[in-house]
Amino acid sequence: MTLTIADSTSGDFHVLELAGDIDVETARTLRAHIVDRFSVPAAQVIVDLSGVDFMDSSGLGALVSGWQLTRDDGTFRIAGANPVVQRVFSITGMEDVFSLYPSVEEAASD
Amino acid sequence: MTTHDQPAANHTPAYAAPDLTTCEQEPIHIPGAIQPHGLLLALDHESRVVMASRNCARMLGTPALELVGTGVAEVLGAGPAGLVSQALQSGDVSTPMRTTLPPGPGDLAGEDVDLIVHRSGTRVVVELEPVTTPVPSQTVSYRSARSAITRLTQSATVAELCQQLAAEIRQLTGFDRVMVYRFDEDWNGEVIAEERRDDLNPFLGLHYPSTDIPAQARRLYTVNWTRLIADILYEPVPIDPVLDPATGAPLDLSHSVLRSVSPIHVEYLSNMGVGASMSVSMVKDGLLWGLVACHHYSGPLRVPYDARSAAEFLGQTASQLIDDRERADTRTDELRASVTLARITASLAGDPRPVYDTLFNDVRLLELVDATGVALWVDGRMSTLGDVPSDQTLHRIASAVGGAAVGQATSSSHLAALDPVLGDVANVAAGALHIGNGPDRWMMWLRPELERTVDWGGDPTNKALAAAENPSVRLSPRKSFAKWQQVVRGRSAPWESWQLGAVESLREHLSGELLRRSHQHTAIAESLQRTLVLDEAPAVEGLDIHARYRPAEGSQLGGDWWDAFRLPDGRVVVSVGDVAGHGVTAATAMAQVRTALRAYMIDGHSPTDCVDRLDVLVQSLLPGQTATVVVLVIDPATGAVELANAGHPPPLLLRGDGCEPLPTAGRPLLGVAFGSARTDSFTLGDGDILLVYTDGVIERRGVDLDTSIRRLSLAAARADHSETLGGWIEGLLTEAPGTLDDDLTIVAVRRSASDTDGTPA
Repeated sequence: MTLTIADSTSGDFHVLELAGDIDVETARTLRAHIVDRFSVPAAQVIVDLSGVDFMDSSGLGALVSGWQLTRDDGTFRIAGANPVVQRVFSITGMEDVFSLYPSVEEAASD
Repeated sequence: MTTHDQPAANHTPAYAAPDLTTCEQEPIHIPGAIQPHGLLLALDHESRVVMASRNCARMLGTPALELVGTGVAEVLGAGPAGLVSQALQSGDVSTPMRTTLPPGPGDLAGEDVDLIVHRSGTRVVVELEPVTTPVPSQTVSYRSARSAITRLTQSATVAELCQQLAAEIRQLTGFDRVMVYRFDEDWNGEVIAEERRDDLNPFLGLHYPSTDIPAQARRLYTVNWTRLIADILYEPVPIDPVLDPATGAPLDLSHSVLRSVSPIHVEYLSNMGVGASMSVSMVKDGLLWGLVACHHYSGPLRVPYDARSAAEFLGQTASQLIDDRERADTRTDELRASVTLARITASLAGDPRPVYDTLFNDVRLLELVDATGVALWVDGRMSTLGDVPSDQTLHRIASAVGGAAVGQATSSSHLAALDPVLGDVANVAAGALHIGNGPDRWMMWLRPELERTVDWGGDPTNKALAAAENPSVRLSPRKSFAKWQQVVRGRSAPWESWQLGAVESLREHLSGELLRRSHQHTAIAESLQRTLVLDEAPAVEGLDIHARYRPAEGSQLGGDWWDAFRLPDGRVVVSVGDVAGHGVTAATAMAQVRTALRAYMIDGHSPTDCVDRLDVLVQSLLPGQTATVVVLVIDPATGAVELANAGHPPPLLLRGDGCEPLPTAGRPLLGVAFGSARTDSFTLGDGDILLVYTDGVIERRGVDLDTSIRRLSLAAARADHSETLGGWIEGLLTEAPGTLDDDLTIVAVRRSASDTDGTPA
């Protein structure tokens, strides 16, 4: 129903810790937040999805925005996606596009 | 309480000593006495004296009681008596007549007098004032009157008009202070213009409670437009006999120019150090609008009848001009409001944000009606701007002020009178202006109590004013102010009718804007619907194609589409796609993607080529958008199918009793400019059904996609597909209803090679 977004750091990375559901209601906020974090040059961001239970296609769209913004300049990594979320990536073919990691630690040390 | 029935033999007033706390009840129109600077006779219908002021002894040489029964010609001489009957015959009893009394024993013998006649009940009242030699400024000429009127008419606003009136009357009469005092709707008063001797304290801006000028005094001011007290220390002259023998009551002196003044009023004036006073009524449309109050501090002031008449005339001229100036003031205010309104609505029209979000970021919403707070309750959401109380209190105010009013503005400048509990929030909301449709949809502007907002020209803590009063003083402007504060406590400045009009206009603009936007949305939605969502699939020999589109709950625009068309080589293209997101943006993007796909396919590109091209198109033309699509090219003759999938959920293939998903997408979403599509080829057998759907069918909170897809497969296999595809899809949706938050699309394609007449089942 709700999505909370917390900011933290891990190594050189800015970490967005998401908790809750990413659906059409919350995707807009998430997208705005992501765009804001990537407004600096060469942003290095990990989106931590370990607290996300559910994500639909709008949520995926928000993550794609982040990925697009760091395409040429910066790093965008996704960590901790549960199998449900992971499946959204695989069905949409995005598992080959995103840099996916089991955990924030692994994402930050890669 | 006072009593009326106790005749006083030799003193005024003719009733018992007044109670200064109850001047509401004081019968000031029957004081039984006059001021000493003139004399009064009451005549019967045969012009014989019935009552006379006691100073007749000195002025006419005969004691009052001895005049009783004497004809007026004998008392005043033939000439003046002739004027009296002439005035009565002509019916013109308001104009004073200048005449000369015949020689004789009294002080007025051989003197010029002003003679004023009026009727009081059955009596004819004749008043005489000796003509005094006026000081030069008091000389009234046609020329001076005309130029005074010209100056009055040149004023543009009510404030200017009253200021000019005060100046003219001070010039004309020589009073030390001339104030224009205006009544509000509750008869509280405010000094709105003042001309004074430079060394005097200003009274401008002072407020007085309605009790200071009680109803019966207001009545007298309304019928008798000037009142002079030439010497505040005068000895009242009783009328003999004090009671009219015919009625047993004192003579009604409402219209008398010499009427003795209420002792309460005299005390009030004495407390302020006033030696002489005059008032001129400002009567508009028969109602008392205000007063010109004149004070003299340097002793008595005898203002000649001519100058008083001129002052009265100027007062009435000004009163006639008030309407016009008020209209001009209102027009100015209205104009200002309409400019503000125009700016607000212009910014609404040009702002893509929701109407109310824009509105409540605009302080002009407060300026529109001079409010300090504004709140909106709509769709269960409260928006506020400025100073407002809690949401709970806002609802309480809305129900008190708005009631059942629909579409019409309602207001209150005293919320505590409607709901006593609201008295606690008077510091933010003493008055409210409300417009709306019942308790679920309203907008409301608020103002705090007046006390906080009055600009004190007459500072109640004014030391000079305080020093002039000793603690025993009961009546004074300072005391009046304190009383007025009590009276207006919890009240806001009143809401003007143009302000109610302004919010009604705003409401119309808002509904217009909301309607325009919703029309825009609806129009777009409808045209998109027509363009994109085919009513039915084209009839193709050998294929049975059926589709079902269901919009999201609340008819929100979605990004789903489906399409089916024939290629020049006879093959059939079926596509199903979904642009992420909702609303006009998603729908517009969907329209472009769908059209581009058609164009690419008809150009002869393969499904994989088309999908990769779409990826580039979305990425470059629709930044930030993503979409998924499945493209099928089917040869109806052979059943050969080529399939390309970009990020879309896998279609299902129903064959016999089994139903299995096809392989998942060969390439990611459209819009990421990454990867390339893969062609999946297979053959559709007779009776095989291909089911293509969008994520609205399988996305369910808390259920992973594989589980959802499996469920859909099972439902597809179970549902009866021996009859029409339409019935089958309905059955499918009953078993796997999908989400209501998103739009959903299902397209089913069945190979029916045996059906050679080309008509789908």
